[in-house]
Parts: sequence; structure tokens; C-alpha cells
Amino acid sequence: MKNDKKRRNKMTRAAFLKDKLAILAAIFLIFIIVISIIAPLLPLEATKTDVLHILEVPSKGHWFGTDEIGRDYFARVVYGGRVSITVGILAMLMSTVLGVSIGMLAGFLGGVVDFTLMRIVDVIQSIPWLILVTVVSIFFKKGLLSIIVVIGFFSWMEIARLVRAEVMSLKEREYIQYASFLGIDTVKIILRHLMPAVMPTIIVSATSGIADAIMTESALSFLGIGIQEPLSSWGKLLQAAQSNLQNSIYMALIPGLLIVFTIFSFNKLGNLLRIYLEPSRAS
Amino acid sequence: MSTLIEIKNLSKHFAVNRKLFGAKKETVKAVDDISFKIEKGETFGLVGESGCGKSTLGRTIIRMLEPTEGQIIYDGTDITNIKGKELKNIHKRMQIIFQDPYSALDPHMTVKEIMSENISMLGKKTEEEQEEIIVSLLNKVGLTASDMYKYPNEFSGGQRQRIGIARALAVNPEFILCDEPISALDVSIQAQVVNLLSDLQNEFGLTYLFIAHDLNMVRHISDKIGVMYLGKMVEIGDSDEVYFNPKHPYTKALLESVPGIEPENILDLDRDIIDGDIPSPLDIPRGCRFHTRCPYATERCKTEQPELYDYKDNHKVACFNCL
Repeated sequence: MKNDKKRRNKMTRAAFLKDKLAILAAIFLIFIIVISIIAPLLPLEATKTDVLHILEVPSKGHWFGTDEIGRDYFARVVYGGRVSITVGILAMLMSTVLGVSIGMLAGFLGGVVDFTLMRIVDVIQSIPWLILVTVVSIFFKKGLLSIIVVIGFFSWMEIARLVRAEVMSLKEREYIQYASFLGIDTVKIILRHLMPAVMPTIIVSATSGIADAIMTESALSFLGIGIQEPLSSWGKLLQAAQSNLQNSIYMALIPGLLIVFTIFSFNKLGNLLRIYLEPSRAS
Repeated sequence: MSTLIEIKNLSKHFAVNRKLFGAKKETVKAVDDISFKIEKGETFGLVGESGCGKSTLGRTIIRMLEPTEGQIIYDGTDITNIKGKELKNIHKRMQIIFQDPYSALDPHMTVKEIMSENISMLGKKTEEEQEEIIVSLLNKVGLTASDMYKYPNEFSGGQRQRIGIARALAVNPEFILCDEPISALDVSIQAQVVNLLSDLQNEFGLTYLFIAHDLNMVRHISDKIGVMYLGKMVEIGDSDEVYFNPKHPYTKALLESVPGIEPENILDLDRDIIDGDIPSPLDIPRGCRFHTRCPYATERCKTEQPELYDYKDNHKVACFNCL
């Protein structure tokens, strides 16, 4: 057990060090996450308006300048990142838990259960995503929590499909059949034998799930049905930057690039995690 | 000797949906109306070409698959329809060794974890007790205590098969279904595994149902041999009797397909060579199932299905021409 852990660590470390981009991604993510966590402790005021200093260019006092009502844009970006990352992680957790449970059940139990669950997936997936979320979010009270729930609840279908397919093929493996022959109960078979085998799939899809959730939140906020003032998020900032695109393009570039880098970093690290979890397949 | 397993008219059919929207269901008669007995402490060899239903028969007997018809009597109790706890208790007394040592062991578990799972089926034990049992079992199958912490992908095929055997022994079974345990191994390893199995049989008084393609190997290990063709038993009898005095044309053909190294064998041109492939089990020929490939088929064979007739004591054949 110990040896194995050591070996995995070694392999993962090697893969990590070889990949300069992965190091960058890790540093970047740690930086973003730390900043997001300690944001309230920093001397930043994201909501303080100052009409005498609107749309100022970046300077010593305001690193990223100020927005159209004179708020410090750096503070807006930091607090926006906090919201974006929170939404990304929580929505991903929700969709992963939902997707994995439903996929497992459908794949393992098969028959009527499988048919019913998969038809539900078909129905939800057949409605254009953005329209669905837009309509649903109208009925929800606007706020951080409802954004998370809406995104989480409408993005579990893909992972459910992936897990189902994987479980269906695993179910035919002799070690799974042997476990049910022994009379080990279904829950234990799922947790002990199926989970580790589908873990790499879950990890990869969960990391891209964070990225997707951040992107979706940005899209919703950009369309004005996501995060509401005075809260900000990177998507929200992008939307606000639209009207000032001509004279201060950096207001759009900053949150835009941050979204791109964050998504890239999560995907990159997800890949490394997969190497850790599936050493035999990666080598 | 007393009987450990008796099966009576056992059938296993699978329903197949061949058409996309059709309600037309067809059945594959993988095992069709088979009866035989396995005595305590003996090895029953089951042979036949791929797709003849050997594995299905084996797995139906141990209730890994649900029988469609017939009866399975295990040590005096009818286990055909038992469920839940009763089945679990019976399953503690039987085990299975799989053909493919690569898919039989969970690649995410160490040998210790794999074996603890079985051992814990017999009741709670402390970590030390479990380890002790595992070490002694690993030693029995020719592995060492340190192998306990390894993952299956660190072993060769033969070693994995040994782990499979150790795992099967962990519950102190009476009966082991060996589902082609040697077909996936190379020849030198095959002999080792077969010898290991017969040593363990002597030591623990095990009863085996040994499924294989290779008649030589089956004769070596078995007391009795059953030959299957398309879901039916065509010949059954004492091992040497079937091997040296085969009666059914299919058994003869199987035996002659074993390549020999003796010159008279190689030059023997007067063999019963059978042509063609095994017919689809979805579309079983009328009459004797073998008549489409049998060099001796008569009109009767095409219309009437032969039952297993007693040819001698302990030797039954399902062929009209052998009586």
C-alpha cells in the first residue's frame, strides 16, 4: 500500500514536472484561490462608489482603474473571482454527485430503471440548454445560491451518461460478477468495486465541469440573468465592460483572460489527477 | 462415494431481441435438457468447442445464472430456486475460477483486499487473523506473503490465476467450478496450474467441475468426462473410457483434432474430419444436432433426436449409430 502510494506520487510528480504548463496552471490556481479566500482581509472596497473618479485608467491608487461609477476595478475583479470560483466548484459538486448517482443506478440496475432515467436525460438534453436555464432562473429568486442550483441541476446529464456507459461495461467484468456471486450487497459493490474504476472518468469530467460551470455563470451574468448587482463575477464584469469597450478595453480583457486561464488550469490539473488515479493506464 | 451435485433436465435459455422494433423474440438454447451427477471428491471434465454452452452450464449449476428449467440438487438440497440468504449460504460452499485472469481480479485492489473480501464472508475476523489466513493461502498456491500488498497488474497471467485459486480457497469451499482456468495460460504454466489444482484437491477433498477445450489436459485431471455439443451432452463416461474408446462421432473428431507427435498419428489419413462450423444456437438443426456435420448421418438422424443411451456402465452416448 505504502509502496504503491509512493510510486503513484512519483509518477504524478514526474508527469507534473515535465509539463511546464501544468506547473504554471497550479501556481495560477493556487494564487486565485488564495486571493479569493483572503479577499475580505485585504484593504479592498468593491462597492464603494466615487463619482469624481469614474473610468480612470490603471494607476498606482487603482491598479485596474475604476469603473463607470468609480468603484475600484481591482477589488471588483477579486470579488468577482470569488463568486465565479465558488459557483464553479459548488455547481460542479452538485452536478457530479447527481450525475454519478444517476449514472451508477442506471448502469448497474439496468432494465426499467435504466430506461426511465435515460429517457429523463434525453428529455432534459433535448431542450436547448440556455433557454432552459433562462426560463428556470426566472422562477428562482435571484442570488448566488439559485445560480449554483440551476447550473448544477442542469449539467449532470453528460456525466450520468459517461458513468452509465462505463458501469455497463464493468458490470460484465468477471470480478464484478464474482462479487455479486459472493453475495456482497449492491451498495458495497458500487462503492468498493465500481467507484474506483469510474473515478478517472469522474475526475476528468468534474474538472471540466468546474470550467463549464464558470463559463455558464459568465454567460448567464453576461446576459443579465445571473449574478445581480452589487455582487460581481467575471461574467458580470464582462457584461458591464461592454458599454465602455471603446475607451477602456482592458476592462473586458482582464476578466475575460482570467476566465480563460482559470478554465485552462482546471482542465490541465484534472489531467494530472487522472494520471495519479490510474497509474497503470497512464504508463 | 456420494453425490455432491445432481442436475436433472437443466436448461438455460436466453431471450434475444433481434429486430429493432419487432416483438419477435428468439431464444438461444445455450443449455438444453442436460442431466448428470458429480460425485464427491471427483473431477468432472466438461469439453466441447467454443459456444457449445459449457460455461453457461457451469455457471447455471452454481446459480451464477438463473436456470430456465430443470433441477439442481446440491448435497441433497434442491437449490434451483433458493434466494437471498439461503443462496448466499450455498455460495459459500461453491467457488469459481475464471478463464481470464485479467478480468477476474479487481485491478484497483491489492491481493490482500481482494482476499479479505472473501474471508469476511465467513464472519468477522481481526486484521491479524485475516492476514494469517491470506499468507497461508498464498503459500499454498506458491506465492509469498509479500505479494499480499501488490496489485493484480504486477503479476503474470499464471500468478494471477494462482491468486484466483487462493481466493476461491479462502471460503473453504467443497466445490469449485474451474471455468477454463488454463485456456488463457501458456503451456508450461498450464501444467503447473493443473498440478496445483490436483494437489489442492487431494489436500482439501475438493470436487471440481473442470471446463476446458484441451482433451489431453482434461483426461489428465478428470475422473469423468462429459462432451457437449450445441447445448446438449453427447457423450459422458469415465475419463479413460471416453478418451480411449470414444463412441460419438463428435468426440472422435474432437480427439483427433488434438495434434499428435507420433509419426503414425501424423500419417493416419483415415480420420473423421468434420467440416464446417458449429450451427447458430438461434437456429438449432432438427433431429440430432450434430447431423449437419456428421459423416455418418442417416435419415433418422435428421428427424429424430437421440437421447443419451447407456453404452456400457458409466458410458453414455447420444448417437443412433453407436448402439
